Amino acid sequence: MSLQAAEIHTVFLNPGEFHFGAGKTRISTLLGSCVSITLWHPRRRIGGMCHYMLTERTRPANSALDGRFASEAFELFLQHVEAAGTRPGEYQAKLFGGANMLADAAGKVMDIGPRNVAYGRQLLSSRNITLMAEHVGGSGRRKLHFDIWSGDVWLAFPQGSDAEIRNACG
Amino acid sequence: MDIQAALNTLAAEAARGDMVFPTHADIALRVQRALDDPDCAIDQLSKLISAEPILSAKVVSVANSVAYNPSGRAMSDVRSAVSRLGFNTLRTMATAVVIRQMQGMAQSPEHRALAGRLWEHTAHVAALARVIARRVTRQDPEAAFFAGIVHEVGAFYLISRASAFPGLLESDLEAWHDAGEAQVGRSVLSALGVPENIRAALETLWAGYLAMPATSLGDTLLLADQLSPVESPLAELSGMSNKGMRADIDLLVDGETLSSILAESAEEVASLSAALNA
Repeated sequence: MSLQAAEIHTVFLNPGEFHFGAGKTRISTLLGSCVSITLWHPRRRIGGMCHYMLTERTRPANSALDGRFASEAFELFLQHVEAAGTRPGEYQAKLFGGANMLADAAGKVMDIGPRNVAYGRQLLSSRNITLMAEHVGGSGRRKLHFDIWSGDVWLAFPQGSDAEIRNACG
Repeated sequence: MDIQAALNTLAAEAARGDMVFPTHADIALRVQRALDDPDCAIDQLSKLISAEPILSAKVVSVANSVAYNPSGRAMSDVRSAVSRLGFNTLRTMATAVVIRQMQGMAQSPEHRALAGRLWEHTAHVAALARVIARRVTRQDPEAAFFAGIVHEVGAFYLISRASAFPGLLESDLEAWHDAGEAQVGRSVLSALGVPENIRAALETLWAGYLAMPATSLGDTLLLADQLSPVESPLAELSGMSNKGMRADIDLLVDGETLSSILAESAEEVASLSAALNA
């Protein structure tokens, strides 16, 4: 995690947010059962990250794309990929999150995390995007930093569930 | 009980060099010093090792594990085992014996059991780190093995001295994972004369940021720690346990996946962690 903080433009993604860019930008986020996908173009050194909470919805007519849903976050990716004059298959993907954070009243673990992960993998393979790395499942929260200038992703995974984070982050 | 004050005391006494090591560790420490001597001869080293039954047994058993003996030709004497393992691995074994013997310094049966489980975790992490270094991160496998052996050294010291701070291990150990582990760990590593590259890897482990894909010695250790089937018992005490829900981690390494590499290397990892646990 080199470079001085002053040189870096940091973007923090809340659930449902999306960022795509270039240069000395670090995109950070905090994940529970949500999933983040990073896409990076190794030659152009551009890329982005999403942070979705659920897989898909029935999208109301004329409504904007909503990054809280995997299918629409991926659509946002595809728009930026095209706008940059690139093709999806030229990007390298990494996928993170999908922890088992939520239990129902009976204490049974719900499968939102694993479903988010499976859906993300499906989206990537549908566009022939290589999945370079994934760190998914488990029971804890993840802190994530994606450095667009290098494509590096840094992940902290202190294990165990945390009630405060469980509420703050999906 | 003031946990932070107890951790400060432990780190300070270790930093002053007031560390209490087990008496049986004396020969293992002499072996380490002999290995530092550039003129050290194999015969002389073998004799020294033979004088310490636990170290001799460990050296022979690790030399016979699939990890160091893929052809399956068993050997039973210390001298041949010393030749097969080489000085770097012997240094790791000598350190392993010192750390293992710290387990015996714990005063209560509960604390000794805790140290026993911590050793099991250590053995798994060390064996995994060796394979991950060779096949995934392209780091020196013996350095990774050594880093794995010493990665919980602060926790071993904490358990061995816990009786001086009644209630310490029974309290919430969040402060331990916040900064205490690094604080005490640094002092113990320094007292054991652990080399700089290994200490840097430990700093990465304590900071907790894994690079994806993993490349450094520190990443090797973080990956091994997160993939280990046996968790540190201190994680359970501090409410950091994964409660049986381990993360799924996968990486592409030259067209192969980490999961397939680990499946292929399962026997090697199992044989080495079993030899360490014997």
